[in-house]
Amino acid sequence: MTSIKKDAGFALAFILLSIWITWESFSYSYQSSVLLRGLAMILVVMSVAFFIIRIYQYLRMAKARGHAAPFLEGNDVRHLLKSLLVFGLVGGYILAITLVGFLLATFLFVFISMCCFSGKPRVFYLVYSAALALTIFMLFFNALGVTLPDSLLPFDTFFKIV
Amino acid sequence: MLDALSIGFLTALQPSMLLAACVGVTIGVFIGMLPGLTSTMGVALLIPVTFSFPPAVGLALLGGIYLASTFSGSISAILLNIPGTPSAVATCQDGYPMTRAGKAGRAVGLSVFASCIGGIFSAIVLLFMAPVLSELSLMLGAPEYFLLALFGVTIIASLSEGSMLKSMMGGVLGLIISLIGMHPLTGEMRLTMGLPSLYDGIPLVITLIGLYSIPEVVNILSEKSNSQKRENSQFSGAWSTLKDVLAQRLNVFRSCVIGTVIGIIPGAGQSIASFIAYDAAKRGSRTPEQFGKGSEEGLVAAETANNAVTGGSLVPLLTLGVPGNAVSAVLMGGLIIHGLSPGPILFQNSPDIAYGFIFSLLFSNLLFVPVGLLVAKYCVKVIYLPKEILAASILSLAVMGAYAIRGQVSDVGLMLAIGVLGYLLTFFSVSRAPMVLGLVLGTMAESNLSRALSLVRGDVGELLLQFVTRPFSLALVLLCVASVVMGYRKSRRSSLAAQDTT
Repeated sequence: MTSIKKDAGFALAFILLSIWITWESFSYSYQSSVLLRGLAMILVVMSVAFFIIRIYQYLRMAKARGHAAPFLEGNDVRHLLKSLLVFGLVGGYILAITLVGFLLATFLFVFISMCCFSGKPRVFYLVYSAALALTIFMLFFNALGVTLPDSLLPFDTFFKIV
Repeated sequence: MLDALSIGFLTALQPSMLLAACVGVTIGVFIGMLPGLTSTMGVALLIPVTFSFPPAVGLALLGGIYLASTFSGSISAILLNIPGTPSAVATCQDGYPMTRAGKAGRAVGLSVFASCIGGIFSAIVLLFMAPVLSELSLMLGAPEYFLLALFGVTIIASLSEGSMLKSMMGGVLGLIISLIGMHPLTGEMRLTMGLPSLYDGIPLVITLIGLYSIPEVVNILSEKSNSQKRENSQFSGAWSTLKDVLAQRLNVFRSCVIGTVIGIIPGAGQSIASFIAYDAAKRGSRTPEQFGKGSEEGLVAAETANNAVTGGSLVPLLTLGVPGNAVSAVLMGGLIIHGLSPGPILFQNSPDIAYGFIFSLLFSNLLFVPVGLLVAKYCVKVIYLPKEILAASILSLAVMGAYAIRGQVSDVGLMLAIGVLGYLLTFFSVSRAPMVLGLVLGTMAESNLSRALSLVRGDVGELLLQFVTRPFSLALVLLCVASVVMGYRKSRRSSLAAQDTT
């Protein structure tokens, strides 16, 4: 029943998204938006149909069992919290690249991530973080010639050979 | 013709050519494995290295990179459920479930041999039928390209795991996302929200990295322990899979043909070929319910087709001087740099180079078998790593891969946003493959529909008439109709069977 409730939530989110896209499509010229508008309308119809089907199934099951079901189970909450941690760390990594440069940002990101994911800091993580950051830097920025991102600190340029 | 073939064969057998092919294959295997590094990037980065080489040797090196990187995208797809290249998305469907079932070695073995056979088939077709096939590619226009994209849309439903309606919604969302950015004809910006990084649309590779890497990292962190993975992750049985691949004669032959034909069509792409072959294998299989759960037929079909595209994509390049995809466009640059003009003249004036290159592709297809298996044997140990190390490493490589595409930090933000979307899709049990197919097809469908409409001055009736009067268009229309009807009948049969059992 929880999965049916989740599906209904998913359908509702898609209804809102597709309505927004349809609305946006009317602000473009006809030639530019004909396919976009058509697809958005198809998505509205599909989302509404899916929502109605799932709500009907959920209400029928709730009536038969005599009780409602939660939207999220225990595992779902843990999963969501882990995902928020990952998103936050990657977001911080992106910010750090623009502040301290790629090499230092990667080192800090890998070290902090491993500490957060395992729950405890280890000396091995420091060594691994340094090695990984240096390897990625050498491979992409020196061997493959990818352009260095701009940052406030010129730390990366000291390690740029090519 | 026989003289030219023998000159080419002897050229390809020279030690320098074989060495170049071997080096190219080795580099290509590593490039394809890393998400964010594509065949196009690998070939482009190594063109300057070939300046000092004889043209044939340089082409052998670049050809080896192209073939091997196309195959090796499947290694990370199979082991980590993260496709290394866009063409490996269909491989994730059944490759990763095989790893979860303890058959990582078998999956990689099937992938290697299937890719080898697909590549050899298309190289042979390129060798003997290139001029005929090039005339075929000239007969295709905007209406045919649009219908091909439409045909691809009809197979979105067959990629669904669980609720078909949910998967179709994901597919339509993928189509919509592909339209973000500038309209190909009018130049109007759509759904960019004022962000300059969206003006050119969202690059497919960034979408793949975000859609697959971030949700997989969350899954890795949510797994209870590594001990079950260690028991399940044996790399054995890889070499014995050759006879299993050969036993699937019809599946392999069909996928070879699909891949080669799609490759000949400029702009169609390897991803489309692998999905179409996957769908065809599913429809023709006696156990279609196994697809998406570790079906060897699905894996073989996808891998055979995506490597069969390689030879096909070189047909328009070598015979007409028209690049078939991004990689062949870069290869064309390589040819021009070496003073060669791609086209029919290349075969007349430099048969040793033209045919030597094709024969070296044949040898490269054989070379990546031992190289790929050797690399994969050690790569499988990656999944033994503690989850915090694996997760942090994947994330840092994903960030780097997303940045390396265009050299913009905003692309990493885009990757993160797509990653959030990908996570939400997995949270709500929506398959990502239909969305990826939608992303691949959307741009192709829209640009060709716009082009086809402008050729008939906006007359929709005239366009519809063209769909049924042009022979290839008619064939594609019939394929689309057959695909929809067969899909509906199959779903009706399975829902009736479900009612009977209850």
